[in-house]
Amino acid sequence: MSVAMPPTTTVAARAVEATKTYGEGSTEVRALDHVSIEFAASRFTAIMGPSGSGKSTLLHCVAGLDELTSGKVYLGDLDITAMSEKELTEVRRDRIGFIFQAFNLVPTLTAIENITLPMTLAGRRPDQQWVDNVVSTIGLGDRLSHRPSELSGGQQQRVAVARALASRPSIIFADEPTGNLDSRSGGEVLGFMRSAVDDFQQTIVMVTHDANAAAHADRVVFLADGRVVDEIHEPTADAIFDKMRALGD
Amino acid sequence: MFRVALKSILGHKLRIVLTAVAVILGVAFFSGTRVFTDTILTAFDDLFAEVNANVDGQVRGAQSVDDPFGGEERAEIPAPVLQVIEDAEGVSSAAGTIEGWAVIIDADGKALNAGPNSAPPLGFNWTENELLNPLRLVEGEAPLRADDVVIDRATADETDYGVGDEVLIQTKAGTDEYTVSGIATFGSTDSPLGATIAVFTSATAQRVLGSPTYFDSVEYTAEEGVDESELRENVIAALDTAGYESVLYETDPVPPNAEVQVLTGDEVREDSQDTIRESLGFFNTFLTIFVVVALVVSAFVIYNSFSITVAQRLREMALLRAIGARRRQVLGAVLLEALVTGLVASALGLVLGIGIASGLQALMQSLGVDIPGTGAVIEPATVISAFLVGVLVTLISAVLPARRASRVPPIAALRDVALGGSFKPFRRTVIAAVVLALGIVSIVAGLFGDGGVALVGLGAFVVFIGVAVLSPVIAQPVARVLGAEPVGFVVIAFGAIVLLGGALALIGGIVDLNPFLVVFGALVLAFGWAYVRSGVAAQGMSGKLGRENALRNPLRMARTGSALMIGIGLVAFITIFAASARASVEDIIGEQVIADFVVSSTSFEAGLPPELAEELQDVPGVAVASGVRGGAVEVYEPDAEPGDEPVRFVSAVDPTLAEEVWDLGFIQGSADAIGPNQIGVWEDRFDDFDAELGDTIDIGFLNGGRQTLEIVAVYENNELANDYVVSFETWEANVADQFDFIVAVKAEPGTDLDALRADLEVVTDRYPVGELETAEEFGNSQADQINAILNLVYGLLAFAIIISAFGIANTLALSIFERTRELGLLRAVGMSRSQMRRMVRWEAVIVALFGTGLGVLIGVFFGWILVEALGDLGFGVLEIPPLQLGAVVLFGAGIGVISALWPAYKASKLNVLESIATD
Repeated sequence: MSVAMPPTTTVAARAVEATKTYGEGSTEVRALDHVSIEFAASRFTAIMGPSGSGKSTLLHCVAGLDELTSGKVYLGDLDITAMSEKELTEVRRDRIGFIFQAFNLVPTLTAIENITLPMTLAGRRPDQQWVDNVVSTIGLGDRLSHRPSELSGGQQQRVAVARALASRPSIIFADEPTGNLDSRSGGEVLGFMRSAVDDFQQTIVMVTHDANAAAHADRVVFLADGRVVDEIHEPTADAIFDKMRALGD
Repeated sequence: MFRVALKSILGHKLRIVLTAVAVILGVAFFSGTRVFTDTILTAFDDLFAEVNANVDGQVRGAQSVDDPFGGEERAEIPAPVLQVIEDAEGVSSAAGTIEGWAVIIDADGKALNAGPNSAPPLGFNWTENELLNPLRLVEGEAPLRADDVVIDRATADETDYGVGDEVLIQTKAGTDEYTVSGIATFGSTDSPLGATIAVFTSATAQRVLGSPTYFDSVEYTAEEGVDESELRENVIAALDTAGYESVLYETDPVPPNAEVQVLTGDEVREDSQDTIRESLGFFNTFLTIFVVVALVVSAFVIYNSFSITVAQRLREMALLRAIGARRRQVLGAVLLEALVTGLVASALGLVLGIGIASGLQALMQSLGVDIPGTGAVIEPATVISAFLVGVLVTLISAVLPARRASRVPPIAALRDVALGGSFKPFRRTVIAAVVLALGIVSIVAGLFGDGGVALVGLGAFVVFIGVAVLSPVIAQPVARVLGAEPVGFVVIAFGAIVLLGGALALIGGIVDLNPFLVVFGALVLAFGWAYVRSGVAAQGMSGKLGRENALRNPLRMARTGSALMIGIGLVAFITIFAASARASVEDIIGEQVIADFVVSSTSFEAGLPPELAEELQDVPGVAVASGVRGGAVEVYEPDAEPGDEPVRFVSAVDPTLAEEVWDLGFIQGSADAIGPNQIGVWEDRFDDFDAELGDTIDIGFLNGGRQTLEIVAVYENNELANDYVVSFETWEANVADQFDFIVAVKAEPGTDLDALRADLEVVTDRYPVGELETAEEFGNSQADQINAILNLVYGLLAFAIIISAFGIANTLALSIFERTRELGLLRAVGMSRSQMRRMVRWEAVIVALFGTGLGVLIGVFFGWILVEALGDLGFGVLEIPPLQLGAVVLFGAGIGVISALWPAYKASKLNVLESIATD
């Protein structure tokens, strides 16, 4: 099933006939079943679906963390399914930002070191003005030189978002970024992600099962049984609830 | 609880294996050395039982002197004793034996078995009586003519000498040409332990090995129906009738007037077995020291492994406590895990140890050291003690971690509290200071008091513990410095040097077509490359992360480093000690040898015939050529317990010439004052006795018995001359074997020394046991002998260091397991596999450098204190060799590089997605 995008926008990433199976024969589980989907640049896309729908698998495969059984994934024009482990690492480092649910930060590094980590690993000098810009928006102030253990959960996630932004990746993947946060901290983090798209033209793809979180996105894609079954543009939380209920979550 | 513990073991097989490696290696070393020595012992017991199988009795000299190196010098017996025994009632046949040294010279003019560490060059007489002859001819005939010789099969194979060939043999009577009349085996071996054997006719043997009209012993067989003790009575009666004072084997002390000792056949076999046991005893003690070191290091590593694994499972323990397990049950579960680990590891270690013993035996066999018999001898005691040692070491190491586990509050299961890794720096420092003080007191008491070596060893162990206790306090600041980027540049520079060395070896190997050198060069190159890469790893983000990871848990880092500290500390200590010994030896020889040239025997057994000095004296341009003889004697010192007189070395010189070539530093009298029945005494002894010139002292000589000598001279330099000096005349009158172990040559003033050397070489070339050197070269080569022992010690310490390398690898692997999620995150945000390997590698190098640094400091301290303590024995110089210590540090860092190989590989292969998903 193919979802057409408005012709005015460019595509940041797309999956073509992406299929992922686990096991063999009678025990075969199809996590992704010929999924074709495009993620538009400078947009905030949320992926939703019941547990086992394949939403996390889709995110991992598009982000180059997991391999497809068949099909293709493109980041811009790059076919990452054909890449070696080494090339994939470089793509992750230079073109992709990550925000995980928890354990996002390296405990031995300070907040600011964590933020610039991908660039340091690449041996690149961070664009200082841009980093300052990103850092000032997360509002960590004097806690930048603190280690993660000295930061609250919400602060840690904001640092993680800042890290994802700091290297100006072509796309950011977020896996349940607010799953471990209370609603107030979660709201702050989501607001921050939203402004990254609005103010910095960043592209974000987020997996979540929280309708309120998904409501911050420009577009919500629904997965069930490894297939894309529906989507909403400019969603509201209520509209998302309705769809999810329809999917039997 | 039992089931929980077992489940836990089965659920973490890798963890158990990693922990067990240290125990396995420790037990393997322990049991390997035991099996090896037992095998040798049994082999020799069998061999001597075989060659002495038909001996029903023996008569030998009654007087003996135990030399301080574990050997025994025994007086000879007059040849007519043989006739007395042959005529004794019940004796069916008898044979006199003569034993001594005879150095066989191969076709290239090289003396066999004449090195300072080689097997002995044995010389025997041929025993016609087949029942009593230990040798079995395999080719040719027994020696008949005076210049016939039978040689052992191993020597024949090595030299290609065959029956009918002419062979040069150097004995105390000079270097003479003999004809090989036959080739023989000793019992069933080609040559026992690599000794060379030359067998002459009895008359020749008396002349070149022993003394004319003397035997070393007489062996005999009984007539049908006469038992050994009855035979002994008959022989004693016959000897008594003939006027020989005899004693029994068990008589102790031997009365001074006794001439011969009578043994039954069983006593002969027992005595030869005891001799082997005694000479291996020193070797055994020596090995045991290193086994203990290896086991202590194992204990450190196991302690650390248990500490880490327990810390990783504290939440699990807390859960057990929360659901109702008592504290004792948690403690029991951890100890049970240790017990099972210890049992399994001991079993594996024992098997590995048996393998090591067989490997050692094969290695010695391939080096030409023939060990008779085959299969490894595994005594029940070895098996039991291996298990005991392995289990005890494991349990003791697990007690503290188990106690920590049992103290975890149940609430820790529910709450996210920080567990482990904390300590109280002040309390720790105080404890460490007390422990260190105790250790140092113990060492000082052992060295300067009468405490002995055991107290020194205990003190050293306690010092290591003290530093280990202290090390977490200093770990963080020190590691921050060690892990700094500039240190990486130093490591790169080191690596570059190693690379250069490897490249040179490789090129040299290719040019010389030497495959060993090529392999060696390639290995060094690989090592150097790993080094350079480790230095590179210090740079940038990988270096920073590696450094931070090392700093993360100072307790863990300190424990891991401490295991390496022990091995490296002992290596550094031995290095400093050896360098100081070298410097001291060179100093002493430089000061006390005033001759231009020295001809010295390269062998401990074999010496230089007196005629060598005479021939050298006749070389034009030689002013003085004078030898030194000597040996062990009993000295009836005034302050000794009667009946327990000390055995000391006495030197014998030509009194009129000695002062021309040696500087003994005479304070009273002079060398040429020492006439017959007179003696020179070292200053310290002289002062101890409150003696005056003209006083007398009694010396018990092997052949001459107790003699009263007048003190006529006092000297201060005893390092070369020993504590007593007598004249040749006195020595010749009281000792049967006459040979020099060193000859000093002084040139006439104005002689061209290079030309003279060439002339001297013409003479010395005929005596391959003697090495002609200038005084300075002599100093160097004496100092070089220290290196041979040094290499052996390094080899034995290697075991402890290998165990600590596993300790580092183990800690890293466990830490990586602990940090799986973090590593996954790093990979996800773009860390490459090689960056991850670098990170792990640099962490390992920091830990290794930390342990190495502590070890080198302790080594310097130990070296200093020992050199201070041994000042009396001629240790004048504390030498801290910067190059060698640099090499030790380089080696220590290399241990880190090597230990990191596997963990770094593991870390880099982590599946990113699974790591992130890990709970």
